Amino acid sequence: MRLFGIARTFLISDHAVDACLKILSHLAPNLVKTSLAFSFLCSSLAHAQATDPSLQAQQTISNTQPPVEGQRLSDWLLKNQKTTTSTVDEKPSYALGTIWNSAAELHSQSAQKQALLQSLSELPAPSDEPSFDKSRAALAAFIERMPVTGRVTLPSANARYLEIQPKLNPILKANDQVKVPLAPTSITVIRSDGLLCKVRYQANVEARQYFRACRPQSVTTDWAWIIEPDGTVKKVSTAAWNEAKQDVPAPGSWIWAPPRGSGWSDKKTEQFSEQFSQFLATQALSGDMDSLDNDISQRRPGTLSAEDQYYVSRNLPISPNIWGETGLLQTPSARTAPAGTGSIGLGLWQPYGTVNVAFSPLDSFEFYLRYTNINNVPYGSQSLSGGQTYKDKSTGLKLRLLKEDTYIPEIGVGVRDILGTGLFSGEYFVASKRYSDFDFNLGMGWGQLGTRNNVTNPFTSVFGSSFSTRAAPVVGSGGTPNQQYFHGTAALFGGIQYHTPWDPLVLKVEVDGNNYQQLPFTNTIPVKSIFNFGATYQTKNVDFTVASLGNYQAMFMISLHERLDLLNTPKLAEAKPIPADLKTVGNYTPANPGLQIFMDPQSSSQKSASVNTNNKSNTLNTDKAKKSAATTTVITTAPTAAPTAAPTPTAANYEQTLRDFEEQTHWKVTDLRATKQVWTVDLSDASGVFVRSRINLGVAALHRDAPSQIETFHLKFYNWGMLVSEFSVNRKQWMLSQTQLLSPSQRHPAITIAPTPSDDEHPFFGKGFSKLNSSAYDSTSTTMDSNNVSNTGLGKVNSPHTSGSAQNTNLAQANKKLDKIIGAYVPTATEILEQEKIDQNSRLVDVVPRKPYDTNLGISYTQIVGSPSAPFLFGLGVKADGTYKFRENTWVTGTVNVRAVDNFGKYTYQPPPTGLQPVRTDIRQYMTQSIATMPNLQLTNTGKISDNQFISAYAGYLELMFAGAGGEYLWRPTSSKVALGLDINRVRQRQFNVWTSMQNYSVTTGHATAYWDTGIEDILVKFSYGKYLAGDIGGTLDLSRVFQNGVKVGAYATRTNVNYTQFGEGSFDKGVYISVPFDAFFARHSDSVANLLFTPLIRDGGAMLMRKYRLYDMTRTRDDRALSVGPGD
Amino acid sequence: MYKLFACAFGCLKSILPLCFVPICLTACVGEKQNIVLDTFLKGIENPNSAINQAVLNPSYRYLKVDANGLVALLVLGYQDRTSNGVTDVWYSSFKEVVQTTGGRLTGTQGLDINWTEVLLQDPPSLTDGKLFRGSDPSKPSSPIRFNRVRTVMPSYRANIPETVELQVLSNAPDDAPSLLTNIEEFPHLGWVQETVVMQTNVTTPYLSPLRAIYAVDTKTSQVVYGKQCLTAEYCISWFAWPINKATAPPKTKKSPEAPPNS
Repeated sequence: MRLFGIARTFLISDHAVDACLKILSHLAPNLVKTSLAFSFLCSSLAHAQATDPSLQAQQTISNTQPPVEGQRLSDWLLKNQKTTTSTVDEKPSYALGTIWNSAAELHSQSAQKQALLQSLSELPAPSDEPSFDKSRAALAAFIERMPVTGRVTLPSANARYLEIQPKLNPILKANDQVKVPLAPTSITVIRSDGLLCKVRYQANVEARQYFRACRPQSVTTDWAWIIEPDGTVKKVSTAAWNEAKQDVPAPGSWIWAPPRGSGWSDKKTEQFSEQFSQFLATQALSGDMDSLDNDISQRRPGTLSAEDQYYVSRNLPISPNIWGETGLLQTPSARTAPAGTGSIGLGLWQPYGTVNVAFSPLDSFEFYLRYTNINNVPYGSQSLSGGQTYKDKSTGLKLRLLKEDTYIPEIGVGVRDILGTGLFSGEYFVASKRYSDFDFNLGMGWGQLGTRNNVTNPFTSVFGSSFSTRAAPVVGSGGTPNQQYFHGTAALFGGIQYHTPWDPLVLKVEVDGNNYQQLPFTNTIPVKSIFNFGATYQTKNVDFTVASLGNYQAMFMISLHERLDLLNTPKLAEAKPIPADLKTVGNYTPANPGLQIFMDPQSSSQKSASVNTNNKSNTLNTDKAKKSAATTTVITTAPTAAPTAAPTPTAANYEQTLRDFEEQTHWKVTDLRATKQVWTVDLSDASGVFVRSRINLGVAALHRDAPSQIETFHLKFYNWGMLVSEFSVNRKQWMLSQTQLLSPSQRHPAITIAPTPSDDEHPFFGKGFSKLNSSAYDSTSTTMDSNNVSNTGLGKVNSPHTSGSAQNTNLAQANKKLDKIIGAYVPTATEILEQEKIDQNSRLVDVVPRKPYDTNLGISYTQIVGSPSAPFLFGLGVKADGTYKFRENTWVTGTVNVRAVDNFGKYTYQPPPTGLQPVRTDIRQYMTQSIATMPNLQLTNTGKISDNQFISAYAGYLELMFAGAGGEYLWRPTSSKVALGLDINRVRQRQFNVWTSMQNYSVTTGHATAYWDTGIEDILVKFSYGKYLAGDIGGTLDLSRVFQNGVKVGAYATRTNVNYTQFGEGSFDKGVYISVPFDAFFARHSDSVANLLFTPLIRDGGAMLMRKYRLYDMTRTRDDRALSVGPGD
Repeated sequence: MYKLFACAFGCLKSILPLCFVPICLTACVGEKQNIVLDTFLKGIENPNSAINQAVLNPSYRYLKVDANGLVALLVLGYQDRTSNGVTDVWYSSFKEVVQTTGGRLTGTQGLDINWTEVLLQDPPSLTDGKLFRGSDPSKPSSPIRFNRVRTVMPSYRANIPETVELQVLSNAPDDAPSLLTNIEEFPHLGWVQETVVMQTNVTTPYLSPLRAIYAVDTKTSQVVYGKQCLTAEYCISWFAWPINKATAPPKTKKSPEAPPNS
């Protein structure tokens, strides 16, 4: 029923209907015949007429109560409950289609519409598609008629849910419009020829069935865009080759599905499709009385079998082969695991056992680390390795060359054992093509993958006969690119993977390229068939495979996999976040002063606002609530409507502010200063990866207690005395973003990175400690509690750690200061004038004294995997760390380690001499000679010599094997993608007992290093050039991918002027590594990062000094992505 | 709720990351090891124990909810009058919402899978004494049918119309919680099962009987337990918490899962 009868004359002329039917009968005569059984009409948009779009914008929601200025959406929904609910006998209201039109969005959406029309007009018309321009005109007319509504996508329309989720709950303005429509019974498909086709909605049916009902069966599509009734846009696959799990369109959806092979499905038009869909998301629901399709009769989809109707698309299952590559059983496919995937797997087949570790730093790239155990070959002589069997290390990679498309298979190339001994080396090209539940693979292999020799090596005809032979692997000299790639015999291989109807089960069959008659160490496997077949059972994180190898023996595989890029552990061990209040900030005052958001049950001001419950009390057991927050019990209360006044800023609760800031962020506050409108918080040794999340948590404490005139919070990040970063928080914008759902045009960054000036307070040679800190550390005024070896954070002026008179003096001074500055401070006119004069300089309002030392005691653990002496060596002990700061930027640090339990007695292997100074290959002696060691004891001084230049100097026992002195310089502008560093060190080799004595060897080592954030696939490049510990000169290239959650996967290689022979096994230094920030992995925030480094061999060439403090790491928060890494707000 | 216990168990289900723990130990001392330990403890923590030991405010009504293995205690926030009747709105401290009407699940928000906009058409009351009166344990009662419309999010499977068949069970079903299956302890419990009447033989995760079971205290006419599968693979169960002491006879031995104050 149209309550406001401004008849939007969206009438379909008879002519238009006739034309439409003519076209359809031409395209699909059968469809039109069958459609006669249904009420089908279509609309020629080019002929449709409409009234002024601006009027439509008004009428869209004019059948509902207008919101009150400052009213929450949840309140509006509850107050209009009567209109938004109905009985099942009536046509139900449709919360999923709830519309919020924000006047603030009209301007930007108007520009969005113009940009869309512009994109449409610029689309190239295919020469073989004469109807393209006509379709373009029809679509342009359709777009022209679409009103600019200001609609904003709502994440939820459940009033009771929104009440407790203020960030999802918009605050309405008087000129906003809200409507909960009646549920449409249809879905409308927008055809590329400009016609609208309204199809009766059926539950659980995927998008493809709707546009099939609107097109001849011969017209197919690969992709469709669903614009759901809540404004969410989804691109879904619709063909057999790209089938994937997908959401279905809900009633009132629009579907835009350009047909395959037309100008509308071209890659170039994809951007238009995206834009078109986004603008459709601002429109009323299809089938709604206010929608552009409201005059079109709906049709019923053609009769479908139950299997078709309820068909559920599934993802292509991928799983590793026995070598850890994504593939079948022994053979690889062209598929690659999604970027960020890490896996570890075990494969067993006689006489082999393989442990595979695989990573996918990119969607199109996998690399592998592999240990292969050969059961029937000894590692070496009995004296060297006892009864240990042979272990072969190898690495591999696979690169996707071409992504699968409608008619093009996915194509990949890969290399096994790229730098190893070559025992199991092999190369391959492989293509994969999918059809629904089947995935077909065909490839050509070389090396072990080509020993079946059933095809001529094509490279022999292209590059000559040298490609016809392949040198035998040389055990003991791996690590060199063997230059035998794609040499020797070749073989075709391939197979089929079938995804069974039972979702976890995948069946595989393959033709192997390996004949198993030329295995390393003259092993053979008498396979009886060229076929391998098997089954894989998949769970979310584990794949199990059992298979038959050549109808001769069984193979078993198990693989554990995880998306490392999605690692994110909720911070359960942290204090509960402080809720943000909407209140007056600066000149901003909330439109509705009584507006409140859900308060935490721990809040003492909380009152139960339960409606019609049996609750008699207005209080909660807050102790219990706190306990439950600390544990996993969930106790909460009803949303409150009780307003809470901002706490009075007294000295007592101001101190609590800083305590809460530290508790929330785990950053140490050194002081807090204020100007009229700005609070500046200085943080010491502040770093970390999830910077934005932690800032948000801390700012909540500042916002809770700061006076209303404070409009900006500056957070200054000092790390080891250097002012590294400064983040500026626009308090009002931050508050708005935390207390309501903002419309897109109102979403501005609340936290920004500010350029940091050179640090006058902490210059390299200056006195480092801030004013009150130094007094707090003054032995005449403060006594440290020697029993309290752990730095407990805030030791306030009334801290129990301060003694008698000193405590009283400090307390009085501080409280006086606090009362004056942040209490109910009413300055006189003179004071104001004076203050304005000095306002350029901030006032010190609080300082947090700290102990100058920090100690830690913990467990140490060391492991060595794959040594010839024993497959697994470990040492477990106790480790003590200590740091003493003479100044903020001058400190001494040391570590003592005592091994308690180990099996290092078996560690007897000593690598053969290489001709280079043994700067690393003496590791056995360093690790075994002394139970108690002092790996590190050094004095360090840091400083900042200009805005972007940092320096450090250090001396002492710098690492396990070297002691000496050195310095580092770093140029790193804030948010820059480029940085440059230089370090130079004079070091001497330490004795094996790792205490204070030295060996004779000394060297000057150092590197110039360039850092570049490429901006391509989040890849970082680091290149160092200089002199290494053994005196060799060369460079190290390091490539890494950093994911959104801060996890970094990388690889490095070093080439110096040491030749392969002199370097020894391995030929040159290389390795791969993973860095996992604690923030991503643990239940509490931390600055720390766990590093896992895999280096196949420890050699002397290309060895760098392992410095404990590196300026690039210490200035991490200057990174361009400092605010983007993390789980998001 | 999910977010809360997803973490508690997320650390266990993510087997690969656990492999990092020993690696981390090589570089972690003191405070960092505390982080590792805290996370580990959270990972192995039994939420049932925490809930069982919780001292509850008698002024509030609680619901112990198990969402596909993740357990939390929710508190009643509102009783709203809706087209389904009086709907109880329950909240978790992680701001998820569960809505029940007459003992049936009529909405969730904030979980991995949610039912929204559930409309029940003349459903028989689960606590109606007629359901259980005269039921012969040896004979199955005649089923009662009613209609339901629901939406499943975030998959946008909206306005799914279905017919639900209610059946009074003569005994506790196999998947009934052990806490309630001792007849001596709970002599007045009646069991009800509801299943969707399937219109097709096709089975998908979204087309399944979506069985629900309820335990009704026929003496107090309270639904003390319910379980509803939202999809074939995702089920939610809930207890009115704490278990009403009055349902247990005086001399019964204490259930191992019962809270100390129950």
